[in-house]
Amino acid sequence: MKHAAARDLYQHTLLEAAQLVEQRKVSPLDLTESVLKQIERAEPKINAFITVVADQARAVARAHEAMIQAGYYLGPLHGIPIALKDNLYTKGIRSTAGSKVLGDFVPKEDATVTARLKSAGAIIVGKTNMHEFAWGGTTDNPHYGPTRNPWNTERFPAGSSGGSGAAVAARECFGAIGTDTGGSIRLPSAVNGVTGIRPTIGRVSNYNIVPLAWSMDTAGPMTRTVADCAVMFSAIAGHDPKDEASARVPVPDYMAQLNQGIRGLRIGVVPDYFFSHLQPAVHDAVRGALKVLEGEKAQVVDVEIANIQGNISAQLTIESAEPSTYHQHWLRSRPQDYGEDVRVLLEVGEMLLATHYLQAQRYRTLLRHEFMEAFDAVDVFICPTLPFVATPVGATSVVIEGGKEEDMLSAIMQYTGVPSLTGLPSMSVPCGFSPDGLPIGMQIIGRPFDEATIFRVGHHFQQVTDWHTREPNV
Amino acid sequence: MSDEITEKEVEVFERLADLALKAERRKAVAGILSVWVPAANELSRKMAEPQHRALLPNVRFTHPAADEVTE
Repeated sequence: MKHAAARDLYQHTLLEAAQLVEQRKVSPLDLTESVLKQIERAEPKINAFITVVADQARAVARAHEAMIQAGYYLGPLHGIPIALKDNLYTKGIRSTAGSKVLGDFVPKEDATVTARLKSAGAIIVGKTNMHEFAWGGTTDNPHYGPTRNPWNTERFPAGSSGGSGAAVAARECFGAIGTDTGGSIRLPSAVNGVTGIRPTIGRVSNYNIVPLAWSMDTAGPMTRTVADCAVMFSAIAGHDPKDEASARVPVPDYMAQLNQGIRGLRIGVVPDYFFSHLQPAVHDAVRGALKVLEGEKAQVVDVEIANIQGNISAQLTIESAEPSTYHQHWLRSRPQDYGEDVRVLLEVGEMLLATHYLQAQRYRTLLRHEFMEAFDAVDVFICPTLPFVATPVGATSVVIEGGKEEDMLSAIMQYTGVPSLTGLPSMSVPCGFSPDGLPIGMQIIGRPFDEATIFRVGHHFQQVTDWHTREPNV
Repeated sequence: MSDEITEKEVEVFERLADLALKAERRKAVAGILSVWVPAANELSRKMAEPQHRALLPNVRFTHPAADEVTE
């Protein structure tokens, strides 16, 4: 593990790099070259990218450099190298969604998220590896190879946005975009020791993003700090007329609220769910984080959510029925082009009943009502992001307690499924390490469209702890 | 009734879904369904209880109700 001392450019946070660009102490090309060198160093071990567009990134960096020299400074993302998960459409750049089925797909149009980041001046250095079609949590990709965890390359980076999480942790970009249906931003954020937010459903456009499950899909940033996350989020949040599910809710100034502190903030925990059935290191790290926040004058409140049990089944039913609907044609015409794990899940999803699906969707309404009632008594909820630390690459099961092996897919959604079902925003923030040096994350869950409070809590936590500053040796 | 879904039962589902699987694929599908279907049925029983009768499926979150917007 390294602590920041004399640092290369690629090791700066996004905001630090932005300040250097604004002050014209470094150029976008300097940042881009530094990041591309780090990609060259790290990729043989990490495999976070499916596609790197080095020449295009250099050309764009030169153009931005000229703009800035001419006085056209666009803001904190101007000239900042970032990466995008490979299920976001990028005009003229192959966008595979981690699949062989879309292996030659070169979009003619950007995703709205891509377009907004480009408009803010960000430089796309590449497209990150992911679990095939985002349907899984390991990023053990049969077509493009597994992504490996920068903290221990024998361990997985979680997923499905595992490439984005690993790329941020390995300092191969200053921030990355992931997508999250059942936990796919928050899980890789936690196990790679970075920060990532799943927005309220409707806050960020899903236009031209290859879907997994329409009713739960979201896109959001993954970065080294909460403040960096808020910068990227500010650029992509807001109504998009091209996305029918996009909400017409004003986007606040997240940066202006970051430093408002947490005195008197009420943090809800559901003790018999949030702190049962998890590895001791995860329990201790998240309980420790709550103590830190209490020390900062926040108040921890025990809350009961009567029907929280059952959420994993609802999650699996919805998250399998919807993708199986989307993939119905390809599953019949090109079944051999899917990896085995995704293929079998798509087959299973065709065999659940409509009543299973609709009862699961009605359960979402029930669970959301219970959380909305609980928000009368609390401002945020905090729980672990997942109940275990990074497992070995290739593992399909995990031991959480008692030596009992459990199926990875069900186990990994224990905590992230709740915001996915309820549509609530939630962010994973680093809060500790296991005895063997693997990162642990905690999940902050907020009210609908109140990402600002989540950022405020996470940022305050990062002002009084240093978990997020630690850097893996890559 | 046993929780286990058999490969024979998967064949019936295939017919309903108009999805022809090769015989060797049925074991993996049956294994997952044997875990997921009992859990889904348990959830369905809960949601079928009279106190939940008024709940609508939440298939897509669109514009929020005014009282849910906190900013």
